[in-house]
Amino acid sequence: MEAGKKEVVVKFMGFLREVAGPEITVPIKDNSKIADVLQDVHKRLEPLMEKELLTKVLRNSRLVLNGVYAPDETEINPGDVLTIISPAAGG
Amino acid sequence: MRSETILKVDLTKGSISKETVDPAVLRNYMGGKGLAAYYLFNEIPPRVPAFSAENKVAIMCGPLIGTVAPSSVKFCVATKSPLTGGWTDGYASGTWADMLRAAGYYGIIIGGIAEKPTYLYIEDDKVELRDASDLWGANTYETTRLLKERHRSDIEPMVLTIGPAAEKLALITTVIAEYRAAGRGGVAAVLGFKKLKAIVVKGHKEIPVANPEKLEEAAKVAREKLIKNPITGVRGRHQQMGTSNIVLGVNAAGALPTRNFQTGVFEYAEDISGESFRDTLWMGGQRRRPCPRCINQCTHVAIIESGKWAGIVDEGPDYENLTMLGSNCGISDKNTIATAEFLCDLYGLEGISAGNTIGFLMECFEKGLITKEDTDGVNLRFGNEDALIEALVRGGTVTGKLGKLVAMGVRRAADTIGQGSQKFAMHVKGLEMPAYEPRAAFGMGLCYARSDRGACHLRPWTFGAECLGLAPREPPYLPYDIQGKGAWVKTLNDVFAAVDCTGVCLFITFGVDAVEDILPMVNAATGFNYTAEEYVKVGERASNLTRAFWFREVSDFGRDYDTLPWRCLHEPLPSGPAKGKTVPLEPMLNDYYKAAGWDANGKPTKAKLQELGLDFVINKIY
Ligand code: SF4
Repeated sequence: MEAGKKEVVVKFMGFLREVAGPEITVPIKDNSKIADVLQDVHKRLEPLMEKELLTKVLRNSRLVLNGVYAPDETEINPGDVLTIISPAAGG
Repeated sequence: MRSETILKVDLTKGSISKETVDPAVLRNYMGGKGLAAYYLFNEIPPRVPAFSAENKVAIMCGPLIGTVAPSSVKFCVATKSPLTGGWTDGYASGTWADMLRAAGYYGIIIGGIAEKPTYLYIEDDKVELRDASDLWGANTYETTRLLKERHRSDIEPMVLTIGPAAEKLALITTVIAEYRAAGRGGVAAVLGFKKLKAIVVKGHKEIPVANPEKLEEAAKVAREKLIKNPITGVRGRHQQMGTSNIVLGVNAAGALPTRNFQTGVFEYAEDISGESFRDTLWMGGQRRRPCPRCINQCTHVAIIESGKWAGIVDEGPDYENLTMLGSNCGISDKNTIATAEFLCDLYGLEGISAGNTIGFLMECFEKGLITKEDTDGVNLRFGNEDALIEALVRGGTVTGKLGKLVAMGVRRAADTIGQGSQKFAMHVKGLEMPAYEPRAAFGMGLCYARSDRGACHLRPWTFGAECLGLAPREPPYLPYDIQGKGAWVKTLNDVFAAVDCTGVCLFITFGVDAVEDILPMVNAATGFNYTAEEYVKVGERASNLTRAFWFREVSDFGRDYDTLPWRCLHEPLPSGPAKGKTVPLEPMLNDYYKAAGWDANGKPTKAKLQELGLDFVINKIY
């Protein structure tokens, strides 16, 4: 992430890590929310996987903002770290 | 009407009989968990010690084992547990149960005590007890090899064995069947007490299926779904990383047991992740040793090529063992973790309980509650790789003070050490807690608290829905939801229990629906034409029977037993997304009991027992 740039780091756990790699940076505008970042992530990953599956995966993934679970409407600020825990299954 | 044959072995008399399962019993209890519960509830006299001639061990198949159904391999091993004093059942995959069915048998009930070490030899209609004196003391790999050599003929014999730990009555032991572990709660120690070292099977018969065409049709539907699923499918997460694919997600959710559950965030999670194992010891996920007919293919073989454990080759580690022998003991070295799992398999120790107990002892050591005097000189600190290995070797051979502490399991170790250590002895009903921190996923807390074998992660497994994106971000699936959790967990419990009666591996439910897709296969195999409701009821019936077993066996059994370790209820997590959380168990438990038709003390009501056709249970617990 470049200093001064309005960006957040998005980290991936689970299935999306295979698709997108461990992390990406996403530019944000003023007053952006997590939902806006998810939209951006959706757009970037669309070419890499089936759209319907991607939508479902993002709808179900757990969202951790700076180490705390956060709802989609939470405001997100430059320098924040959003962890997307996407599907994985074990036992 | 369909029927199945089971073997009844009386080791005291040295007698073996064959019994046809009553078709009505078969329909109501199906197989696996259900049928094991039926036989053991009826055949173990009330309140006999787990270590007694009267206690019995049931090994039971389900109707799909050995058929074309995907992952149709999982058989049940159950008994009255010497670790908990109540019910325990566990499941192993692999190839052993296929052969038992090919020999013409659906299950084996073992009672009595042999005069000397014995093994059971089954070759189709020939069933004999044989002398195992020369095998007594041999580790599980050696026993398997020797028996294979001895009995190899036109087909490879399949071997189920106990290790030296179970011979010495270590309470945290498991049965090893064709290199796969079955059972928690000391089931192998019961066999050790009975002096039954192994069961060798060879079979040449066809496995009976009511409607083969329909079964193939239903299996095809299931296979296609599994193949397409990113978790269970080709090059999916299981094929790449097995169940360990979840390490990083669990850690990000703050639920990765670390240093005896002192926190849920391990700073070296990346080092022990499924990704890291895949890229090193598992050679990119290419070193798989899957069960027959499995698409998930979750089992990987680790080959240690360098360092102090070089030369060790073993299946695994799976998520549970990896975490409990890894982060829970503060260990971040993959080779050490793989070696630790190898030793568990070799001695027949059960990895979850071993990692849990050693993690507990490490915390006691660091807090000064035990010293090198108690550990026979071992510097039992978190992260000490040699100490972990030493503790397993001693536990597996039940040697010295440390070996005895490990072998007795965490509850008894805490009672021995005292000094308040019971507060962080992480068990439920005496069974060591597995690898999900319940303060970070309240549903798992409820699962552990009321599961029928003590702290179990699969009865049901809510963690994926709560924290790993397997359910929508809405109630009751969010990790800290309380309302609605009880009813949800109850429904899942019955469905998972039904699957445990069928003989398919639970892991296929990540790619197919546990009712919609598995039921057509069950109906085709059995011809029983269960409705969806009847099928789930098989699971509910089994769960109520095992619950009743606890009430019958433990005089003061009830709600007080459905609890969690003090740490989970009173000590807030110090880090991660669940920082500050403890488990609010009581309201969830209330909801669960209500949904289950149990009274306020957690006892199945007479009405519920009657509804399930368990009338014969009523006068045993009322
Ligand atoms: S998912 Fe794993 S344990 Fe289950 S049948 Fe397949 S390889 Fe065996």
